[in-house]
Amino acid sequence: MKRLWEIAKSISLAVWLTAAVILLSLYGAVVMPTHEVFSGMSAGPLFGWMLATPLVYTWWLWAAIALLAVLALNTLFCSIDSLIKKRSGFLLLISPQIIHAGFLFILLAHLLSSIGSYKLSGGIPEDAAVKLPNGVIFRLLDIRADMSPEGFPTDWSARVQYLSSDKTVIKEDTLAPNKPSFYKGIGLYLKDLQLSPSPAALIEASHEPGAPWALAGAILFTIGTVMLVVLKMRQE
Amino acid sequence: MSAYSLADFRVLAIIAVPFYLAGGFAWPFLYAGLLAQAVYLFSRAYDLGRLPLVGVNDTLTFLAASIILFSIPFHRTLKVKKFRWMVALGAAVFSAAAFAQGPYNMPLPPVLKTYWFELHVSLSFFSYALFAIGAALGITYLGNPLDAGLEKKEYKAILFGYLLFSLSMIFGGVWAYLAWGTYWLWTPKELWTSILWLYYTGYLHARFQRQWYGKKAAIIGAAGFAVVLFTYLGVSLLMKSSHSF
Repeated sequence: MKRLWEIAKSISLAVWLTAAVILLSLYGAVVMPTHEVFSGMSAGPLFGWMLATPLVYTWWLWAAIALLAVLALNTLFCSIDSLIKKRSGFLLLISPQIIHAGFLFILLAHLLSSIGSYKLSGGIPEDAAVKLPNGVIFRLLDIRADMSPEGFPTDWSARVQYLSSDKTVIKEDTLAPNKPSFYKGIGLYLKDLQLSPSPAALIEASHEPGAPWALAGAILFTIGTVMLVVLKMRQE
Repeated sequence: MSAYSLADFRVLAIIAVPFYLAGGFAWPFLYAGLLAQAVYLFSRAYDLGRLPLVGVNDTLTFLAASIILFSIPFHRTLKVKKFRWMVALGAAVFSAAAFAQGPYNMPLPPVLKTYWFELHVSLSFFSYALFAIGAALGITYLGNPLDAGLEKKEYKAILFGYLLFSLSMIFGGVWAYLAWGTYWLWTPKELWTSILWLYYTGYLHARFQRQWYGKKAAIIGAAGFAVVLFTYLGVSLLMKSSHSF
């Protein structure tokens, strides 16, 4: 049992698992551009796509996910072991554990998004209203586009209103490139515009349940890595 | 600023190449090359109203300048000719290769007009430069295995590069979430980026192991730059993705 624990929390296991995930990812990176089936990977939840796609295309991804699950456990065990044994000073002890926590949060984020994310998109004319899956109704009020003298679009935006079921206005917001509008867990994104024959916008509604976890993980990872870099630069 | 004056500054990008080559003989030439490229990049940034970080021309020039910039703290304490030559040749080759494509001067699509993009790309190239310096230090160490300080410097360069690369991925994720509604897109570039991140994660962990410490770790660290080059140039030029040039 002790031998099993030694292996389960070892850095060697982490290195070999990482190497195996790299090899599987390399295979994936080579086959992805060669098969049309991979073009739909980002269109919805990853697990939905994987279940609907023949195993001959997805085996490497299933294997990589299985190895990442083992790596997540290895990371957790390594941190537990380090905290129990307290082999170094407080900051040097805690900073890798903060990095590990950030990594685990990011893996959790991908897991949640791979199960529960969705995207819906459609062309919506000005003044039309659409009901979202969470029951919220939004209306496209108007769109605006600025063009450069050479004919390139330099900026564009669209105003939307969120409405309750009795058509009361709850919130008004503006969509623009890199400026989505969020309400009750759904983000509205302005993907494209049509100015003629009648103004309309291609709007995507996106739900990413992993996003808050990814952000939390990224913050933890950054804090831990900055601490470790400072300590190592002084120490080494 | 007129196109005429921009052409003037372009001369600075050209003369950086012989300066870098001469830098193999003496450090001051590397500083002169860096100064020339920095003035060129600042002139482009001033003219375009944004950081010049789009396309092969801008990014290779930025990478060459970053390599020299980040090598300064190392050559202040390191007097090994082999390291100086590798840094000088690397910067010269990247600077010369930048001319394979003309600079991208068109207005940016609205989705690229964000600080997230500039942070994402600039940090990527800073980290690539540190990985290049790490590789040069690793190769230098393999030629002088008795100088353990070289291997430690390789580790430091890669560790700092790893921090910047991780930040670049985080900022890229935030930007992707704001622009496309997801922090992760399944394209070959993103997959290669995660391969690169995993590779250096593996290196940083392997170095802690007694059986990997020293020569083996130095080789792994140095070989990582091949993955960097393919992730940057290979994927962007050969594969269709959100990062294609």
